[in-house]
Amino acid sequence: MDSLFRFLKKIYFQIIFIALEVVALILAIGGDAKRNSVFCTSANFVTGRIYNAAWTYVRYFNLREENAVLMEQLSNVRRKSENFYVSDTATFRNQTDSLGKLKYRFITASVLKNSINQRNNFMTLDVGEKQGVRPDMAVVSATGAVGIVVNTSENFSLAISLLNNKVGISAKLKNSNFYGKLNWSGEDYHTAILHEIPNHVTLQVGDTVVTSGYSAIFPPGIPVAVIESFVRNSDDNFYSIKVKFTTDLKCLASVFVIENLMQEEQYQLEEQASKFVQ
Amino acid sequence: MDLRGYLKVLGIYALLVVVQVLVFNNIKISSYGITPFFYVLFVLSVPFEVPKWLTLCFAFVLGYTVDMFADTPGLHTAASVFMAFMRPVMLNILAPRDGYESGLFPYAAYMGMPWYLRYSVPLIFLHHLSYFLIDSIGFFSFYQILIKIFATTAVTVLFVVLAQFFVRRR
Repeated sequence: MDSLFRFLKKIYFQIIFIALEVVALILAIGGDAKRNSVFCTSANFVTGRIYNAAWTYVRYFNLREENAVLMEQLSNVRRKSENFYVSDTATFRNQTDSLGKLKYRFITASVLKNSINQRNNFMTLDVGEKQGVRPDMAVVSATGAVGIVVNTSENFSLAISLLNNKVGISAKLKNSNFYGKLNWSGEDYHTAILHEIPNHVTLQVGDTVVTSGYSAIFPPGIPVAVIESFVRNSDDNFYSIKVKFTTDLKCLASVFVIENLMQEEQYQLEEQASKFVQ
Repeated sequence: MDLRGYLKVLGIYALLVVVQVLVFNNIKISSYGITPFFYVLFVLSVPFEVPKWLTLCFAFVLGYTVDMFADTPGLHTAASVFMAFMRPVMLNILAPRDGYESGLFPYAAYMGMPWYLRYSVPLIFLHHLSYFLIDSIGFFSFYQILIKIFATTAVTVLFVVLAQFFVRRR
């Protein structure tokens, strides 16, 4: 018994180390489950408050860039609305269904925290359940898609960034409607890979890739990336396409959270379809 | 060590977390997004008299706090705990012949810059090595991780050493 105590006294340091390290590794490797508990993330009360307080000062430094983006957005809207009055009604049909019922609702938000240097990046937004944000809503900036909401608290929400190897969004070529899956390449924050575009499609560097709207999260037609380079594979029938995000994910300030008001309906219908297959 | 000493440790902890979260986490150098992990200075600065098991617990709390702000559950925690585990090893290797006198602190102002570099650089390297290895689980690219480990170590060491010039010997 005595020698047991002496032994324990000798290795207590190692035991404490292993215990703490195991707890940390469980958190790190089972990270996905833990991210859903607000306690571990920046969407919780304390961290959210501190980020909010800091943000009121820091956002002045970004006003210049933010202004430029807003001006660009304004000019886009103006161009679209002029089109609308002249002839083209299609642009606005994007936002509503054919009966003119509202399909997408936009909630403006500020990015409180954003990372680009992890394997799996997330961002914290200053809107939460009180403002009507729920998981599975799209996050877009003035220049393109940036992420998907995964978790919300009362006043904050956590969104998974496109810079995340667990996210793939359904995207299509703007000019030909061929669709595929878009994933982050994991290399740097500009580049993503577009999969599943068949070899017979004609591509050009600079072609725009937009959201397909098949997923019920993103509305169709939101720009995501432009083609940077592509290689025709001889061993399978699909291109390897490198694309560059249209949004600079390193300097995000103002974003929109988009609520698809008919998401539930679409999910229910699609669930029935999967029953037929079985 | 008396209560005042522990209050000082608490103060350093709070200061470093705030500086890391509000300043250093916003630094993203190059397209790799290199961020200095300045907060590891806390593990380096724990006084010699603090028992090593308590340093482990401090490191755990420190890492957990930084993780909470950075949305990286467990990552900084695991790396910091590992760093605190290796610290006594480094201290043993670098110990003066008659051990560490009381009244000395692990700062360059007390121990000299050559000692401080030999003490801090390996520990910072081990911290970053474990951080990026755990981070890369399931998504491994050898070349990229190598760049990240060395580049981040370089910038962290730079800021940690710069911070030493703000500490005066009493």
